[in-house]
Amino acid sequence: MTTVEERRAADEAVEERLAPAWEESGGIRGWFTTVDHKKIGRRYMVTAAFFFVAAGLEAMVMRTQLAGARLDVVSPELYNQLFTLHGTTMIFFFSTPMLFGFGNYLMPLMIGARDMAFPRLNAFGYWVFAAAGLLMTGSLLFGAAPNGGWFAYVPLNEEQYLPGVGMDVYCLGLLLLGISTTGGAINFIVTALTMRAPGMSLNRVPLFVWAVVVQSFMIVFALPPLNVANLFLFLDRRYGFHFFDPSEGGDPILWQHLFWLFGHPDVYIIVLPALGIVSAIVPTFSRRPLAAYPLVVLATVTTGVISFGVWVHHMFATGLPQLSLSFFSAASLIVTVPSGIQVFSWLITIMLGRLVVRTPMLWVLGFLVVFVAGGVTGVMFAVVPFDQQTTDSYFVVAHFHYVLFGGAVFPIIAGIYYWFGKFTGRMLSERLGRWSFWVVFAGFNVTFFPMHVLGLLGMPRRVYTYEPELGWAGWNLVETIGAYVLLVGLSLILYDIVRALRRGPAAPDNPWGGETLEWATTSPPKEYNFPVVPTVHSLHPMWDEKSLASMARDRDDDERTLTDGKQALRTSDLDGVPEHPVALPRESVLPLVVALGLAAPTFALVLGAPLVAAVSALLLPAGLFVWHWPRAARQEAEAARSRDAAPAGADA
Amino acid sequence: MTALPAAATDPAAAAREVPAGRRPGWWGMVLALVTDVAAFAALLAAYFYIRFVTAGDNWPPGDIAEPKLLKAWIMTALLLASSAPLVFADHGIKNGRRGRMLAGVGVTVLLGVAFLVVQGLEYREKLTVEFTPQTNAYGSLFFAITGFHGLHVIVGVLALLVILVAGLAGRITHRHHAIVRITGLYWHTVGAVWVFIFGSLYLAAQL
Ligand code: HEM
Ligand SMILES: [Cu+2]
Repeated sequence: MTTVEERRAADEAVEERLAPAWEESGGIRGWFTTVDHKKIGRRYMVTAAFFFVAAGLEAMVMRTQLAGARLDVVSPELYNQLFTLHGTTMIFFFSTPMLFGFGNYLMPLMIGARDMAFPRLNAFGYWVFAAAGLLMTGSLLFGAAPNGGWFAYVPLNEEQYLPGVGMDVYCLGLLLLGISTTGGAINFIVTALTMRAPGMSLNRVPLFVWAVVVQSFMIVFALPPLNVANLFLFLDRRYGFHFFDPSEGGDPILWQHLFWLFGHPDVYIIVLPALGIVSAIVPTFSRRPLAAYPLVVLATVTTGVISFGVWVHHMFATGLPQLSLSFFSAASLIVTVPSGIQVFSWLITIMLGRLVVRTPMLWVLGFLVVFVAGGVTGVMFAVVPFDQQTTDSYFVVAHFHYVLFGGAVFPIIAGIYYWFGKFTGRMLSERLGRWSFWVVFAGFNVTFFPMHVLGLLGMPRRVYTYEPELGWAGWNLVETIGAYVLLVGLSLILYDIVRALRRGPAAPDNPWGGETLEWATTSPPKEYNFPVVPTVHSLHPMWDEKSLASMARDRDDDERTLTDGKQALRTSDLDGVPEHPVALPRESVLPLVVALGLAAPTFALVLGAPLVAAVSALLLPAGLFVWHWPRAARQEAEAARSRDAAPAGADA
Repeated sequence: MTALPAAATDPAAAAREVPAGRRPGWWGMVLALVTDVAAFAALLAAYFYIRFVTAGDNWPPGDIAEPKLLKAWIMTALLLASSAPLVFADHGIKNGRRGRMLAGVGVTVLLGVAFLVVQGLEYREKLTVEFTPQTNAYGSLFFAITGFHGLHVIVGVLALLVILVAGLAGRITHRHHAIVRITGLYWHTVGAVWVFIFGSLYLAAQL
């Protein structure tokens, strides 16, 4: 047995040599210059949580307004801004960035790497995301928030029907965010492809990493249509182009195609990594490896591919040809198969294992119930006549909250409870965790289940109020009460986090006995994550003696400790054979500067100052120039010169 | 036993076939180009959607004439020709021939700038006598697609200028020349995309 003490001793032996190369500035300066994937990952999570709170409070105002018939809490104009901003924020600025935060923090740890492949791109992505979110959420304070619904249908969202800057904020904010998301996705793929620990062939890659990689590939293909759509809409609105204007040869349906070509895959862009979190948690608390790992990998990949062929199910009511409706209806029904495979894999793992229900697992069980319920109503929509009856009603609102709240928020909270010790070095409270779970679970269902009923009774979505004669007030009141219960449950979690950060018990390295490599690091991990790069011998390195032993044994092996500067190990793409060390960049303000070169022009364009935009955009080429200026040849020459100056043989 | 031909089995030949990992930067550029090409695909899909689903028979719509081809042929020739010197430059620096690299990159820059100049002339003619982006959806699409591509050429020329300066400063050597290879990948892709744009917006519009 390799004891923890042995590994600790091995770690300490190399830490002194690693620390100087990996240290970053602290304080304010470090705040602007860090390129450490863990700090960036944490930032992503905290910022996304902030947007969740903002969008959640917007929802509370909506629910308050809808508590009874003909209430007058907010004006119709403000209500439009509230639901648009709530939807846009939850989809774009909470779900994906939150899961990017998990991915950023965990992917390098899970694959035994020391950082991402492009640490500066990573920092850049965070700044751009933060700027875009600030623009979007900040606009509400000026009463200038987007107000045409989160999918911004034309012609409603053309300038002549929705004047004002609200929808310009939407187009430009999403374009800005798109750059950040695309950069992040590329970074994930390249990291997973080139930086895995020796021995981690593709069939030993943890499922969470697979999920993030598939998510990233989907982003690479799905974001371009969205960006093109937003560019078109912006040009239409601001510069009098006619892409979507039927009177000048344009076509409103084009917007719908472009948007949903992105929009449906986006559901899986959000949900897949969340399912990856579930696949990470279930084996730990079932005390056995996940059943049918290869099938789950295949299902993940298949989901990603098929979801590009079903976008028209969002357009069943637009009068498309019958044949295309049938095709997309069938395709939509087929997507349920790979999702089903994943669900059965978790269930079988739980059945065959020895279930231990701790808080993270409790949230996963809650997820299973809610997500399956959302899936069932999803199948109903794939059937064209049903969809045509219920589209744009509260039934739809109920459905996508079961899918998105159930499929993303439950796993995210499970993930927070599971990895909080790793992220912060402190443990959350088991007791508060259980309380908050039951309150949230109850609140969630009381809020959203009645929406199915109201939808079938005919209540349309996106209405700021309704007439008393319609008889909808009772159910609406129940929903609003549920929303407040939900708020209490979520606040309990926030309280638990604040409490734990201040005086929670210290977290052990591997509090739950997990199987993947992040648990081999200290809690929280050192800057370089792994003093000795592990060699992986199975899918469950922490449950397998040989992999564990490698981290103590290789402490004297320079090719595994890489103490010659800030270095990571490049391994081969498919089977993880070590190739050569790669140098990683040190901390830098460049990412922030280049991000400003994008964000400043965007803000200027929103405010209608194209000249300021053009001038501030010059930061972009300037920053990129410094960023890419080739330095390696010069550095190598200098290193060689100082070697020659040193006594012969000292450093061969 | 008859001797087998040795050329294919000696260790050096075998080693050439072992897949050597590309640099992370190379993979990063490949993926960036994939998403970029997807953006062009979305643009062209929008163009064909408007042409075939929305517009019907009369294309280009209204009394806009079919696009004239002379300048576009010249642009195509310039951009396609510009890839060759870049390949030459890449091979040159791999063998440590800095002069070849500088010459190759220089010629590519000139051809790229020439492309932009002809595109500028083309734009002036279109905007003053034919149509503008505000004329109708056809005009919007034409300028959005060619403009987006022109932007890519501008970015490529700037990147090549950086290489030129860095090469003159002795910062690109036969051991450190990934930047040439990776920028080349970008440049060739932008050229290939132009062929599709030329085929869709100019040639196919004659049909
Ligand atoms: C925190 C608890 C939440 C509550 C109380 C809530 C409540 C609501 C309500 C009442 C609406 C309907 C507004 C209307 O049609 O008039 C709505 C819309 C929406 N919600 Fe939520 N929601 C919550 C969380 C979420 C989450 C986590 C997501 C996604 C990850 C989400 C995504 C959306 C979207 C996309 C819309 C549609 C917006 C539109 O129509 O443009 N919501 N929400
Ligand atoms: Cu869909």
